[in-house]
Amino acid sequence: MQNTNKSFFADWTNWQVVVAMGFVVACGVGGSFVESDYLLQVMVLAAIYAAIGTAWSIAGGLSGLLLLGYISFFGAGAYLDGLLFTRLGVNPWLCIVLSFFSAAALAWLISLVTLRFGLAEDYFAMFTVALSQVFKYILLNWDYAGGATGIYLTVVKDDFWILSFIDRKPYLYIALLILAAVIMTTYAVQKSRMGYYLAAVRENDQAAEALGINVRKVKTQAMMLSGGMAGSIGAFYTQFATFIDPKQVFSLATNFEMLLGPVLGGRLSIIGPVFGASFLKPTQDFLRGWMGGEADAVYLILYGAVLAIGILLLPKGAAHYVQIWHRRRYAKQAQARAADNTETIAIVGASK
Amino acid sequence: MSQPLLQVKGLVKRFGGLTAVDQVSFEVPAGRILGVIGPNGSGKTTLFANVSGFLTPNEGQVIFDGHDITGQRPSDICSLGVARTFQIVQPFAGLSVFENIVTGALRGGRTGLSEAREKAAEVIRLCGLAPVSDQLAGSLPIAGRKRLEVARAIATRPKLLLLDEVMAGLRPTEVDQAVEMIFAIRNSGITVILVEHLMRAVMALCEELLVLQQGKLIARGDPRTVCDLPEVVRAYFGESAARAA
Repeated sequence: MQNTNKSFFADWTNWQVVVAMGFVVACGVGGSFVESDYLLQVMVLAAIYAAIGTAWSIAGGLSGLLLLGYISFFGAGAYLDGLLFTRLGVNPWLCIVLSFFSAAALAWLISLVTLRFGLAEDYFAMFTVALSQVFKYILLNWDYAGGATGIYLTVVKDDFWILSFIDRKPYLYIALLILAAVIMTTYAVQKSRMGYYLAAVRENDQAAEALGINVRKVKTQAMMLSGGMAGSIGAFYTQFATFIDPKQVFSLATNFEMLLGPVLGGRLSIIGPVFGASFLKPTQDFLRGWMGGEADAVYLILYGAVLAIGILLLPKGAAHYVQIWHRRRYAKQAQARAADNTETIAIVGASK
Repeated sequence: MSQPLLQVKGLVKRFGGLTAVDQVSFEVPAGRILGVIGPNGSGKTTLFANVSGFLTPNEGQVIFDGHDITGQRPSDICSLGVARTFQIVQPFAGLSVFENIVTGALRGGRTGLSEAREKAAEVIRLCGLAPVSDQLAGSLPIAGRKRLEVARAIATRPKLLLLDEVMAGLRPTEVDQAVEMIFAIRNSGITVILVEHLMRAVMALCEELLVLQQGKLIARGDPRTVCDLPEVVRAYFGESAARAA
């Protein structure tokens, strides 16, 4: 969304996507030198959380929907992959694609119910959170899906075709590729007509409707895109973690951890979710590694504090301050260019 | 004369026991500026809401350009060529003025992004918003916001524009500019219906006037004639004023 007469980097969205993609590439290059399995594990999880956070920000940020119960889509994708792969031997890459469409279909159903019956704002949020717990209890009691024991995948050899590796490093590369795909999708959405619709719906849905924008359709599309991407990420997670159970992939605590990155980082931005998750998730993991079991209690307190302070001090997320800096920097540049232009005109005028 | 652009037939809108719009019928030929006046609470805004699809009438029909649009979604009605502004301005506060207008110019997907940008630049010039093009809509003063509200609506390239009190709260010089802008809009081929309290602007602009009172259409016709009618004077000033007149 910019005037065409500005330079490429003067546009906030362009600037963000370059920074975010640069970061992803840097992580890939940096990761190639990392030999510690633990560190790689931390990095993969951070990439997964960053991808989830960025995917969420389309519905939860750009469209302004209070999509609090986001883990349903992740869990659905994780279980779809677990079931199809272990029970029916479906190729995991295909599962990632199928998970996208299944989770998107789930998102469509949820929006059909909530938007048609006018569940908005906090009621919508509560509905989505409650729904994720319904899924958890269904799966806990579903024997075919392993019940409370969950699903185990056995990794015996490196095989790219079935997305299973003994080494952690290939997972990092794939996770970063997924993150890059999510970033580029968000960027494409923001740069397209859809970006304008989402902004209009978020800012004022009545005015949007008056301008010919079908608000319900736009919200549904945002949900489907966000949900579908979470589904794919969930399917990848199952392949990476090789073990899932309902308490883990439909966990409320995990659900909120996933939203922490985008909320603190800035849910209307691209860099917010990416850097937010990349900072917060490893912090949590290192605390856990450092303090052991106690960490879970301590970091819950710490997280609570960080979240409260963060929301109070940075209601628009950290990215907002980066945006202000960006605007100032390029405003100066534009002024300088305008001054140059008038000088040129003066010179041309004088020579006539 | 050919078929009118807008036909409203026997429109009734009730809110519980209150009938906000009561059996209102009128038609608007293309190219006209029509004014709707009436005391506060007489149903002007409700009438607009029923025509633009934000409310569904209990009875009656709204026919626009040959289509029955009664009870359709506002976005669909807008796609057919009806744009409206809101009495309480509704800018996309977090977007720039330019982005606000591009959003309108996209016409719900019937126009591509680059074409919409060009259209927006054109509308910005027409409405005199060029100096504030890059400002956030939320930072504009009230006159600017009202202007933006109109600009965004005409960016959808409507055939019919419904203006709901776009001049309320403006200074006299700003009102003159707004009157000029509305003439320019009409001259570009857009039919205009405006709800307005500001009689100076109404008299300057309108070729025909509808007067509502308690939801009923009590008078219509040439503005000068209508304003002298005893029932109109009574609606505004009460019984004694009507007798004095």
